[in-house]
Amino acid sequence: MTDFDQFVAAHVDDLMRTAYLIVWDESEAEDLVQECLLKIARRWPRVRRMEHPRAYARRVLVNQALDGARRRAQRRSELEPDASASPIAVDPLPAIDTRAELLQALSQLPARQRTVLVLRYFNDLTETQVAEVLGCSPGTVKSSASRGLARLREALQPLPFQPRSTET
Amino acid sequence: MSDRLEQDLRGALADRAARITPEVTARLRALDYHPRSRSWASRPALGALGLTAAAAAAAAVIVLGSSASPAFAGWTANPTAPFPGQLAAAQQTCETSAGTPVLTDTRGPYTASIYADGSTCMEGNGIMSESSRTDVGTPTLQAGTIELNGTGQSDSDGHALTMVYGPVGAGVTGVTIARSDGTSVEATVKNGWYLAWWPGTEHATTARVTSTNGTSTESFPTTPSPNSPSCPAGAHCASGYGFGSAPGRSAGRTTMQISGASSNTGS
Repeated sequence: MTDFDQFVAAHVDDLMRTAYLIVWDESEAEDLVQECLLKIARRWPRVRRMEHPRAYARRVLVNQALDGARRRAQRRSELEPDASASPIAVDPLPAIDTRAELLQALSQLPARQRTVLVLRYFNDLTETQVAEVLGCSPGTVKSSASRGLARLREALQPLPFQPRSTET
Repeated sequence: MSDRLEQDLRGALADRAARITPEVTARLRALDYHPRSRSWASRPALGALGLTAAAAAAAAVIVLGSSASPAFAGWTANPTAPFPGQLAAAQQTCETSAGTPVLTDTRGPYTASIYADGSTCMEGNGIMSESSRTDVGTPTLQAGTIELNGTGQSDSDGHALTMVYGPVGAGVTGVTIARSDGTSVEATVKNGWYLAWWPGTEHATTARVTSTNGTSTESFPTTPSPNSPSCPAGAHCASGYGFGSAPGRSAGRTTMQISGASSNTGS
């Protein structure tokens, strides 16, 4: 087994799960991971000398995922100028508990905001590490995570009671 | 509230991630991520290939996609102006932690780049070749002179390329490389570096350096046959050599790799 094969064996699970949570679709996530590992294989002589090859792989993966999301959003806006900015389909399952509601709300976040939350709360990266993956400042990560959490919090609020109109 | 939300979010993400079955990751593990089937090359005896005591350490990789043309169709001996989007595409393919290139050399559809740390990348028509130096940091060159470095790479499928590159001293405005077959290749000179490459295994013999002081000729180190040791036909392996003229440097570890097959030599 080459050291590249060892790298794949050690990290493919983490990359696949991360991709799945970012793009929300298993087939698309699998394609993304394949593309990512193809790139890493091409650059392996360089990547293997990096201090953190896994962080580099995550960066490649996330960049590909966000590029794809941008292209899809652009196509959608060209086809349907008034379309909602929601990047992915709503989970058809009804929200039966908090986690299910959270997932549904998460699926509605813009791809970049969801990516920040995935890297922070699934991959357990610090704000600085997330910033390195995304190529932005820790401050941007902090505000993006804060906005994302606020939207999730809103989604979990019970709907206000609205009395039925008595007008006839 | 926030702590509770964060805790729920961690749980929700873990729940969803758990939907990925072991079969999916097993499928991903089983794939071959190299463009071709692999086989290990014999260790090229780079000492026997003529690495001089002052050779620049280099690591090189050629990755040849299925559409790669052994003939490097469209290559030109003189640099050409890049097509719209060509440089951006090359930068994407060559994505590197070394940052943006200090020099790009375009010849038809091919773009070769050199980075501030001395590493290089050439891509185009489904071909990609990279080299990186372990002797980062360049000595101060005399005005009007250049550092003579190069790599030659060839594989058992008939792909081969030779590249010369390095820093230039103050005042250097042009470099023309003479090859062992008597033809010449014009280098790109920019930002204190020069670079030229060509398909095949012809050696660089001399560099004619044009500077504000006039012209001079520098001789490349005598290089041995770059085809030795040869790769058996169909073995999908690579052989190669590296050379350099930087004073005071010792030969270092060299890696030749093609599509994941690699061999290393320390000297």
